[in-house]
Amino acid sequence: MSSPPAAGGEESPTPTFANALRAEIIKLRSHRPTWVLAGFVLVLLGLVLFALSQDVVIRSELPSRPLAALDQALPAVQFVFAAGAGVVLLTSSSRLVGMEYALGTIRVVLGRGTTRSQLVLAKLAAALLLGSLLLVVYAFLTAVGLTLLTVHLAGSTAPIGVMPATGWRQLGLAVLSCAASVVSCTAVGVGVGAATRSLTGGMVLSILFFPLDNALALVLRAAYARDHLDVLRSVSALLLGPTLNRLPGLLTGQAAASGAVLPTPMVRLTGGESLGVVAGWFLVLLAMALAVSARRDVLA
Amino acid sequence: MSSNAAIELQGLGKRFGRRTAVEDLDLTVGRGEVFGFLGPNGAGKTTTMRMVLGLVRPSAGRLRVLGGAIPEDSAEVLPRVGPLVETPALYLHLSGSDNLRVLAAELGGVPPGRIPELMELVGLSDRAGDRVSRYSLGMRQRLGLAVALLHRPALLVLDEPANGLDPAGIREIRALLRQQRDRGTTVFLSSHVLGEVERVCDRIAILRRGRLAYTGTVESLRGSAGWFRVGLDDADQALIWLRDQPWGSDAHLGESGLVDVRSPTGRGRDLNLALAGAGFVADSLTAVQRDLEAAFLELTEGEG
Ligand SMILES: Nc1ncnc2c1ncn2[C@@H]1O[C@H](COP(=O)(O)OP(=O)(O)OP(=O)(O)O)[C@@H](O)[C@H]1O
Ligand SMILES: [Mg+2]
Repeated sequence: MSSPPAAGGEESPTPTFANALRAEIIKLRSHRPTWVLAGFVLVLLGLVLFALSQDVVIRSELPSRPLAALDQALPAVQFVFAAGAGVVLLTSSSRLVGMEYALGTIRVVLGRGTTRSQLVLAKLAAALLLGSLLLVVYAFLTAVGLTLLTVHLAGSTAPIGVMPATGWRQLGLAVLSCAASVVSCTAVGVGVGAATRSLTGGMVLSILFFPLDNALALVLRAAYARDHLDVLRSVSALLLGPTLNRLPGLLTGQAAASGAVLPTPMVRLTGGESLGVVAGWFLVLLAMALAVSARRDVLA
Repeated sequence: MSSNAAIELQGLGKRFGRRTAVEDLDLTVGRGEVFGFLGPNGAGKTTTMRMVLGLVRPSAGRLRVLGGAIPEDSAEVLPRVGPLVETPALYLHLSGSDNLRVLAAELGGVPPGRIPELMELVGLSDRAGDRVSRYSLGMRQRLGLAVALLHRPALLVLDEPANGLDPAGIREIRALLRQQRDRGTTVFLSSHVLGEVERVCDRIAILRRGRLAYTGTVESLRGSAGWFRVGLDDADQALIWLRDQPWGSDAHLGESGLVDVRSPTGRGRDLNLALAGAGFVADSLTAVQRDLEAAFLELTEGEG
């Protein structure tokens, strides 16, 4: 311990939301497992694109009817994003919150004046940025992959040029439903992290969230088949996972891969209503995360 | 409450369920003081420090830090506080420097040059790029101190900062605390290393089962019991008489035939008068400075 720093107490650092966000980005950026997992999602995308290049429907339709080929290709691409990016975001956002309690760093951060709500919001924002980055990179690589596939199968990019407007609209809606997954997974991760204040507990519960609420949808379906209580149908419409499963199909009108295999709500909501359910979950989870952070003693 | 104080606790209390951790604590730490906060394990030191930092809500009482109320004014006050609570809390997957970088980002306004400067200050320059998960306990403690000093706080709240440090590290901390005091920084320090506390603290408080058992200087704590060492020709006779006195019951034969005894009033002259009145003339009479450990144990042990 050598040269003394200069005079004390004269600086007035100000923890703000922007500063907190900057710090969260550094924490996220330097966490290697998150990026390994994200890389793995891109590897999966590569595999899906390869499988699509072997698909008979796509091989026959793409040169002449690009829309039909797109309908065939999109659900699988979307499903891989929802599941893969979902796992990345659930684990990284719950980890971002739980880590502070597990390491005890929460007392350093809060003990210097960053407020509890600033911290929760900064973590949410950082995780949303990660989700957006994943979505942009994934969408870009998908676009590149599908273009190469087109050139490979049709000899030129001509089919893309003649794709009808509905095709472009479907692509946009596919991105929208992926964004709904991003927002949902981030909110679940942050909410569960804030409630459990634990690293492993938070990560495990976040990962289990969607399996559990999909299972609940199946239970509700079985219960409805027996008792025919309308309330069971209504409750099923409020479940987050099943809503997300159906969302791609609802928005684009295609047969979504996830909606075909995974449970969906028993009530058929419109795409807009389904987005409303997603927004509702987001707000409820955020309010819960803020509330549980606000008053509880920090004993980590 | 005077705004001149760095920390003011009034009737502060904290209960965890049915267990009382801190009770009715009144304490003032002046600006620029190095203040020692002592007490046995579980006395409530860490809990008090957590309340000062706004991490734990008091169940009773009021507290002000650097002139602001906690938790109401936390956002204005806490950025001027440097905390090190219990074991240093660090991001294990980041390097030492990156830990400082993250926290500098959190606060804003820390010049980048400060980080290598601090790593140098705490003797971690050559390990600055290593992940903290590979640091030893003492190295983490050193980094924790750097974290506390990062934004040149006006008040340092240090919970057992010497924990895990080697002798050189302990000496460095002592130098660092003095340096901080010279710069006008207030230091609120808990420690079990009484020798260190004695060397650096202007005043101390001793907690016992959540309650204040003593506040004042180390000097007056050591002198406060009013013990004297008396040279007497007929020590054996004198001891018999002394033990019969209400104030002398614990008199005993000390080193080299001298008698150790308390004064009836705490003052040497009154002991001398009492002895002379009983026909025992003292050859010599000196005040005994107890060591801090003995005084500490006397205050904190036993029923309460
Ligand atoms: N989260 C908690 N729940 C219940 N009791 C607690 C909690 N935290 C602290 N306590 C209790 O509060 C009392 C004071 O604990 P505290 O950690 O403040 O002591 P301390 O003086 O810092 O002790 P040490 O010297 O061992 O660090 C203890 O009886 C402890 O068991
Ligand atoms: Mg303690």
